[in-house]
Amino acid sequence: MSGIADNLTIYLTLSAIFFVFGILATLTRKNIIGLFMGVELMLNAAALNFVAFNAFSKEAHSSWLHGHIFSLFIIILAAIEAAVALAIVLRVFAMKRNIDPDHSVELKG
Amino acid sequence: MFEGVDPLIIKALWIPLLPVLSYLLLSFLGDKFKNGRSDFISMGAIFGSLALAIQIFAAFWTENRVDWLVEQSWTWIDLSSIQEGWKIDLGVRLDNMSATMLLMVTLCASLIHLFASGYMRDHHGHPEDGYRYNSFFSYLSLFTAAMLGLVISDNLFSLFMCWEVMGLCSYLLIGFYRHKASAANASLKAFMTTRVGDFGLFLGLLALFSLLQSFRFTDIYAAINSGRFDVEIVGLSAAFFIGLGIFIGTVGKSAQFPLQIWLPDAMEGPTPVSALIHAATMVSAGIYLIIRIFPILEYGHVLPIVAGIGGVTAFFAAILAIKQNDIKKVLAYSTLSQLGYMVLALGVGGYQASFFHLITHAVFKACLFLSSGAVIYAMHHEQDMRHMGGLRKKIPITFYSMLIATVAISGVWGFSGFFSKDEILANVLAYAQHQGGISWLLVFFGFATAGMTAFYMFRLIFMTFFGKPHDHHHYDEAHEVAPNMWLPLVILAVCSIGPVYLMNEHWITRLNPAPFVKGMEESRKILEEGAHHVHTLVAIISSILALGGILFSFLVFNKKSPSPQKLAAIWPNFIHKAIDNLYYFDWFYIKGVIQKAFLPFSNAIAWFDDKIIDGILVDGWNAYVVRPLFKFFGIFFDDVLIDGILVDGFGGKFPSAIGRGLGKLQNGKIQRYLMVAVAVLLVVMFFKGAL
Amino acid sequence: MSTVDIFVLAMAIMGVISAALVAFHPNILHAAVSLIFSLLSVAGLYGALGADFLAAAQLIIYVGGIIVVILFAVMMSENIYRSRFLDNGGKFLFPFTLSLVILFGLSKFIAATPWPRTEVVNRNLTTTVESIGLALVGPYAIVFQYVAIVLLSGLIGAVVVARPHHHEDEKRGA
Repeated sequence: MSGIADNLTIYLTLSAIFFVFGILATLTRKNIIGLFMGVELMLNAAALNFVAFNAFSKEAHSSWLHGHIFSLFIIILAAIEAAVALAIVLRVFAMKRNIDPDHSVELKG
Repeated sequence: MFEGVDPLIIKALWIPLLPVLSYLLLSFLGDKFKNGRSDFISMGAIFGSLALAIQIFAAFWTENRVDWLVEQSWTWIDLSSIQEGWKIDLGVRLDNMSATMLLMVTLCASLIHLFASGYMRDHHGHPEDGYRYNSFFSYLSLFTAAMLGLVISDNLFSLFMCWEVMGLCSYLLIGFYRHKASAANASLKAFMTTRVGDFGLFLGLLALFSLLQSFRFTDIYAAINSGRFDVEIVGLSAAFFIGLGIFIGTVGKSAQFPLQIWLPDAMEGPTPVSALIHAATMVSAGIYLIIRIFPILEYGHVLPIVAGIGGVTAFFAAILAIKQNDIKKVLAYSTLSQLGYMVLALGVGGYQASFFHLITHAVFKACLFLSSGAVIYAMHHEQDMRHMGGLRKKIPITFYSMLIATVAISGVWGFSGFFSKDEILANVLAYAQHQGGISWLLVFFGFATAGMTAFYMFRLIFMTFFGKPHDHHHYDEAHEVAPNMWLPLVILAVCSIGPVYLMNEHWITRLNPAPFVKGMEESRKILEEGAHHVHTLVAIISSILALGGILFSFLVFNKKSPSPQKLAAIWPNFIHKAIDNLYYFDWFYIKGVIQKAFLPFSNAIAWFDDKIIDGILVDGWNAYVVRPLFKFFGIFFDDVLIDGILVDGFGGKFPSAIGRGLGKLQNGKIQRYLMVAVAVLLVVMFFKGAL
Repeated sequence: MSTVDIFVLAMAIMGVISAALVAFHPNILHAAVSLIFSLLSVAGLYGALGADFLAAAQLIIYVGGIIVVILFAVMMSENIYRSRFLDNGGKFLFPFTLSLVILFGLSKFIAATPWPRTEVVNRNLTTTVESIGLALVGPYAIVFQYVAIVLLSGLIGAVVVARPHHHEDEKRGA
């Protein structure tokens, strides 16, 4: 088991697992916030992927950090997305007193 | 095409060609001839033909051979590349028979043209009915052309073509006085009756061609000898059927029993027409035909039928002639009777006698008809003999000409008719002596007819020229005809005198229509010898009959003792009735054949055609096939199937069903949408090969 | 097995378990807390990969900021007191199948590809801060500005949406 951390595979596998759990959370949670948490998981999984690839790319030296930058931006955008999403949740809750996604069916048809 | 051809043949070709040109000229330009000068054209043509005919005859005469023959033939239709043997040649045949016939026809035709140029005018010399005078001569020219073409034919095909043209011209000329209903009916009757005969002739020709692939006489004669006619059908040889078919044509054209009904009615035409068509030419064309094909008739054993028909016609027509009151009708029945003689002669095998009589009869019958025409003309178109009488002082030339011709027809020694009739009777008697049995009936017919002929012909003379005039008005007006009309009479009368015909044995009495057919030489020799034997006997008997007939006629019709009425009373009523109704032939044909059989038959066929064939194929087809099909395709197929499925279904319900189905996907729940997005992502990944 | 390996393994296990809890725990609050731990594990992994700045940023922004906001929202919606166990019915089938398929496909892909094996350079405790900083004002300058604008508009939007709208206030035009 030596050198587990020296292999891309563990990181990619983990990323995949996080991603899948994120999908499951998004699709099965009965709470809009739960749904949002799944999205965050997915984003993290993707960011992890970028960083992992960045670390194992041939050009990897201290100044080739494009993967890091990407992940940074993911984090930033996730933050603002969280703010907007939760603002929406509050608004919806204020109107319906209910945050079950199955109750918000105005888009039906 | 004409190089190296015998000049005689060229002359022979011009003989019918001149009248054809005359016909064409008069048809198209006839109106230009004012005051009826068109007779010059047609007379010029026919006299030209006469000149040529004399030249040909002279050529034959100088050769003085029995088997003189000049022939030429050209290919007309040649389809032998398609089917073996499909080749028709047309040509000219000049032998002793055709040379003689040419001379006779052109002579009679010329004289009749001359006579007609006067007859068809009124008493002041103006042509009756203006432009139709021209068309009369155009028809006359066409007719003459056809007859001459027929005579010089070397094959049955062109003979048939000329035969048909003659039929047409007969129709045109008999019905010349077209404002008279009786004339129109008569012309149609003539045409239809001869058509029935022509049908038989056509069948015979077809059979002949299918057997031999040739129409030429020389080929036919050669084929008989080589046995090609030996094909048997239902036990009878092919020659029987062919010969019978062709003979039926003669029965029609020469007015033999049972198709004799048209000849008396044909007297509706102008007298020159009667002279030409019903004395000299058309009716003799039928006899000419059967003499030409005599070998076929002989070989096919058709001759007994021929003889029977001839004998019956001769006898019974003579009986009818006795009671006629119209001068032309007497001559018509007389013609029938004499034609019967010719057919009878041929039937017993005496084809030379038949031809001899043909020639002599043509001459004296033409003379008789033209004379009667002169009488009629003199009497201002009065034709009933009961209104005539005592004319011999007023129209002497006519009288003497007619008298000579009548003596000739009665068979008095020294005149042409005697010699030809004598030959016939000798042949008949020899035949009966050889065959025995029922053929003696033919002998009876022959001799009895001879006696009756003398009787009724002299009745005509006595009633017309002797006795007291019955119609004083016409009698007073009567005067001799102009020279252009009595000249033909005189010439023809002269030709009726006997010695003219006896100058050379070869040209009349020694015909050679065919090489001796194998197996038939025996019977021909026997006949010849037998006829020779009984010659004197027959001469005596026929002379007695002729003179007796004349004497009896003199007694009855001149001296009136016994009176005609007493004579008539001897015979029972039913005989008189039969004679007056012409043996009920017309009645039978109209009521029996046409009304009872033919019309119902054609009605039945018409019904069949209309109701069944049209009903099924047209109406039924339409109603039960076309309409349902249309309904199916038009309505069901188009409306229901196509519109229903494709338009309403595919166009309408299907898309909306899809839309509604897909619409169910959108239930407004975000998680459902996300699920779909992920699923699509998966699908994309799968197809991109990532999965 | 070096230290790094053990560390990575530990982070992995923690991450997986907490991710599962995030997905399936009926109680939303528990799920939020599990999210903290999964984010923590991701930060640890960043560190194992030599992304020191990123690990710090992750901890500060994600754990310290986003999770707090989530917790706020969770607290402010009354549902947590009412229904603790939420029944999803038969809805699990399709998402599970989907996820399994994705997982299967991804792992197949990961296993099949011959990834290059290189040294992870940045375990030498060299910081990445300078490089990231230089990159942000260098090649990624415009993107940086865009993101700033996005943040601004996002903030404004969030405020607009979340502002309490009272009917009396609207009538009064406040």
